[in-house]
Amino acid sequence: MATTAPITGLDAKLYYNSGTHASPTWVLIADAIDASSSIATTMVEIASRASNYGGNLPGLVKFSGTFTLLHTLGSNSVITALTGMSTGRTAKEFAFMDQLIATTGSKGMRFFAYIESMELGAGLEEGEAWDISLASAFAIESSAKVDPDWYVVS
Amino acid sequence: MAMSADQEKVIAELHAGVKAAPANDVANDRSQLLLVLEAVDAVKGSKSAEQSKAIEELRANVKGGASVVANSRATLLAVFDCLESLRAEPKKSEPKV
Repeated sequence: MATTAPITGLDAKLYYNSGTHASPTWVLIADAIDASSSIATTMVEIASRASNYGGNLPGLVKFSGTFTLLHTLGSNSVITALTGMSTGRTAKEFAFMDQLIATTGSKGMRFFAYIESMELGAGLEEGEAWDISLASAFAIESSAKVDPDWYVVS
Repeated sequence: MAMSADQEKVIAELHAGVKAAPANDVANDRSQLLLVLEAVDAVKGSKSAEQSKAIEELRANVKGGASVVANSRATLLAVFDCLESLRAEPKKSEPKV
């Protein structure tokens, strides 16, 4: 049983960074619907005739994320920013937080990503929504590589 | 007190990030917002009522709480505009004694 408070996706918050990694400006993606973020490690199988038992060693660790976003009519600055990232092949930093980022203890995956795909769905009886997939970016800022991070607001 | 080159870089990056943000509310690192306030306080000059209000609002927001602070984008832009205009003001020459 959980001994600390659980939380629903409704209260989780998704952000992108309009600034730099060193001096972030977090912009809330308020119209996000579902979101998920993941850390996946490639498993490298190690095997030889010396043993009957195979085993794995960890390979590369990759962060990724997906989210759906409500589409709205008229000017929508977040959609403009996201489509700009996609067509401009620009990496931005994202943060999938479990609550408002300005709350002490807020935590989540923070990583630079490219928009791998963004698909606008217009189902007959559904609100129009974007299906967006993020792939971890090889990010360099001020001549230093910026690695993905499990970010905890202190 | 004069800001170091690193501190000026942080302020410039923050300003650019806030300008690029499309939303009404943004969140930034408290330590960096304090640096902006420090820079504003270090420059003498006249501020508009709107700029003074924005500075006080930012000062109130950075008190206590988490290391990341949410602010209205408009408030931050008003503070950055104030900093830029104060720095651009021609300095009066020291009175001769």
